[in-house]
Formats: sequence, C-alpha cells, structure tokens
Amino acid sequence: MQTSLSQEFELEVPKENKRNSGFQHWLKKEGSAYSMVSMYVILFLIFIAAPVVVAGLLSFTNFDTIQFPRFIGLKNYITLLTQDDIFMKYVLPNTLQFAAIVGPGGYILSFLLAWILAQLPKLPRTIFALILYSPSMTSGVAMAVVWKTLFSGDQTGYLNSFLLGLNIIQEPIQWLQSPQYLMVIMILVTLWSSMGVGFLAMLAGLLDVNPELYEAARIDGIKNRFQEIIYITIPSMRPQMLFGAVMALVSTFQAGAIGVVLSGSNPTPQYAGQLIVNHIEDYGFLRYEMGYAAAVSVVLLIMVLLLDRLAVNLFSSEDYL
Amino acid sequence: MKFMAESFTIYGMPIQTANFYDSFRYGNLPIGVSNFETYIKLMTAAPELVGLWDIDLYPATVLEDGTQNRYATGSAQSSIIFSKTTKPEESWEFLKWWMSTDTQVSFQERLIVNYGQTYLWNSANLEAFKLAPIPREHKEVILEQWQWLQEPAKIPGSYMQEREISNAWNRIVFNGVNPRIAIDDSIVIINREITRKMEEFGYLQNGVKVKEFSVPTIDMVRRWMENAD
Repeated sequence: MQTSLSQEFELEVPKENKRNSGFQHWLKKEGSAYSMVSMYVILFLIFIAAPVVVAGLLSFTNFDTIQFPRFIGLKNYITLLTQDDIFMKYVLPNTLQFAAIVGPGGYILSFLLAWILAQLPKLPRTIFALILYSPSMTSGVAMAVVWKTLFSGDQTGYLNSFLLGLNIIQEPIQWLQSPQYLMVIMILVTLWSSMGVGFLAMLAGLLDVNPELYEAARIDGIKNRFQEIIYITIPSMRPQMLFGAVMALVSTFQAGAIGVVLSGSNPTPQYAGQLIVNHIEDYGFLRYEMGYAAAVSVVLLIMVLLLDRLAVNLFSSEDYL
Repeated sequence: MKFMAESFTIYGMPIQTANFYDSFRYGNLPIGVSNFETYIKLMTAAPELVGLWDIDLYPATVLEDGTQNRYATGSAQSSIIFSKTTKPEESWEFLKWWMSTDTQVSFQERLIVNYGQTYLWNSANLEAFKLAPIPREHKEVILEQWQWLQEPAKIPGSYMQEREISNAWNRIVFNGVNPRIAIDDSIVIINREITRKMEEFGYLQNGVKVKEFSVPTIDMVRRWMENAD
C-alpha cells in the first residue's frame, strides 16, 4: 500500500515540475516575500524616491509654482555659490556650528547616558530610560510650556527674574530675540531633546554585550572601565552605534523649525538661527523660487550623504554591512 | 525707525511682553498698542475690567508743519477675481452680494448667536460695522482711525522690506548700531531683492526698465474707488 502511494506520489511530482515555467517556480518560492515587501516599496517609491528625483530635476529649472518650470541649467547652483550672501554669511556657518555641536555632542551624550543606564538594575533603568526618552517625543509641548517661559524676554521670564533677583543683570535679557543668545539656546534645546531612537538602540546594544568578554578582558589586564569601553563595549555594539550615528546625523541636518518656534519669527532675527532647512523654506515658500530651493536641498542631500558615508566607514564591520 | 528703537534703548520700554492681555489684567502694563484680537479678548474675557478701560487713536507722529500723521495698516483679507475667469459677471454679482450691508450684518448676527460674543466679525463694510454690537464710543474711535488706513505698497520683493526693517531694528537695539547706518544697509538689501524680482517678472531686463510697474498709491486707490460703479 505504502509503496503504491509513494509511487503515485513520485509520479505526480515530476509532472508538476514540468508544467511549471521558470516564472511560476520563482513565484512559488519567493513570491510571497516580494508581495509582502511590495507595500513598503510602493510607499517608498512614491513618498521618498520620487520626490528626490523631482527635486533633482527641479533644481535645474526656474519654477514659481504657478507657471511651468523653465529649464535654466546649472544657474541655480552657480547663484548659490557666488551670489547668495545670506547662505554664505549666515546659513552655512550656522548650520556647521549647529551640526558640529549637536551632532557629535548629542551622540556622545546619548552614548554616555545609555552606558550609565546600563549599569543600573532593571526597574530604575526602565524609569530613567523613559524619563530621558520623553523629551524627544514631547518637544512640541515642552517648547511652548517650558522653554518659552524659561527664556521669555520680559522681566517675568524665569531666567530673567532669577538673574534680576540676584542682581547679576539690570534689565531683562532678550534671550530669544538677540542674535548672540538665540543660537546657544537652540543648541541647548536640541541637545536636551536628542535622546531619541538612537539612544534606545544604544541602550539595547549595551545590554546585549556578552558579559564573558568583560571577564576575559579583566583577566587579560584591563585596568579601568574607560579602557573597557574603548576596547570591548564599542566594538561589540557597532550596528547600534552606526544606527545612532545615522539618526543623529539626519535629525541634526533636518532641524530647522526650532529657531522659528523659539524666536517667534520666520526668518529668525538677523538670520541668527537660520539653518539650511530654514533657507530652503525661505526660498521655497516665502519667495516662491522653487527651483532655487530644490538646488539648495540637493546640496543638503549631498552633504548628508557624504557624512553618512563617513559614519558607515567608521562604524560598520564586515559581518554586518 | 528712530522712535521704534529709542523707545526700547533709551526710554526703557519692555522689549517683549509674554502676553499683553495677561499683563493688562494684572495691572503690570497700563497702556499698549495692539490689534483687534486683543480688543476682543479684553472685551469678552476680562469681566473684572468692564468699564475701567478704553481705546483711543493710534499715537501720531507730528510733522514739522504741525500736522499729525496717524497712518496705520489694517487690512486683513481681500477678494480677488482672476482675469481669465469664464464667469466675470457672476463673480462680480457674488462679491457685491457678499459685501452688501444686509449680508454682512446678518452674517455677523448669526455668528454671534451661534458661537458667542468672541466671534465678533470685523466687517470691511462701514455701514455694517456701524451696526456691530460694541459700545458706541469705541465705534467712533475705530471709525475715525479707519480714515487713516494705509497699507505699504505691495511690490514684488516687498517681503524683504518687512524682514529688513525687523533686522535693522534688531541691529540697533541689540548691536548698538547707529540707526542711519542700519537703515542704509537694509535699503541696499531691499533694493537688491526688488531688482531680482522685477527681473524675474520681466519688468527689468539686465538693469534696463522694459515695462512700467505701477506702484499702487493711496491716490490711485481713491481714483479706482471713484471710477467703480
């Protein structure tokens, strides 16, 4: 009985194989995987890939959102490099200063705090992780309630009334309107709300490091915890470090709204808080020169891509990427 | 410009108030120059101040010959009919109906009946405004100030003007720059932007005027009003 059944079975299978063409065979094996990914791929193409391509194309045109774009070649890029003095005097230095402090600074801060949290037992660690992560989620509400009252320009603002009471200053300082202080405050507020997804990923990576490595290292002669961090912890959590670095990079260069919200005016007074995203919005939405704004955004994209390559070279190892 | 900057640097006016409405109620600030929104807030949401406060005309600048200039801006929304429309007559009839006194008055009344006193509709129709439910003394002040309504001419590139005035004020108050120098720098920037936009729209070509751009002045607006039906 069994053999006859198996014989029948054996007769069935080759017939089916012959009837299947290459495509149907492929479809059976990998079709379901592709169909599950297709949802994401379609949305990615529509919302991320297509706008990038269109922005690249628009950057070579003159487009004022009402008439059809007029092709003008590289003129936008030439204007950006030679004639745009707001870009050269304010936007580029501001962006580089902001990115240099908030990017690595926020990243190192995230790593240090994650490392400190990894030493704690489970319950305090969870509570502190929630406390440190919440600013990145609530930055809008926190902005209105905390930062604007803290740095408010009249004598009733918290910082002003504190300093006035101690007689350190005689008149209230305009924190959010003065070009000297606005940048510093923007950096502070962004650092405070930079413990985002990258922080959580690094915490997870830290907790995942094999404790046997630490024991082996102690036997091998590592003297203090600092050496432990450099030689064992960081190399073991390279994927998480890379993820944190990319997230920090992207969010730093995308930060633009913070200056506008803090100072209450767009563009910020004397362009003190003008970052490259503000510059793009200025040319795009206030002056209706979409082609030029697209050109600036392509420059931003190239900057972020270059730095991203740098981060990948620094952090990735052959096993993962 | 000098007046704006000096009132903060020399005369010590507080540069920023977190909320004028609150400060007024607490008695911290006795006087202020503000807009219709603050007026409505104080009228409807400050019951303890009823009858204790009043409004007056804008502070005037006194010119050399003694005349007082109280010009201030006041426009909020406007209506537009595109020249390529296929229904110009109907659009005009619709706008005439919408801005007619009866429509404006009944719209105003319906808003207040449905949503409360805070939805006071500030009609552009003077006759309708005269029937608005606010005290008569306030109405007289507002109607008199309305005579001094003037907007800065909007030409391509004029957004730069507002921005640069703000920046110049900032430079004077925070960096201590001389007002004349600050304004001179701003004028250069504003002119450059206006030139750029004129080139873009085809009024200038390589610096040579090709088409005439008519800057709307207040006399022109008055003439348009007289020539309309």
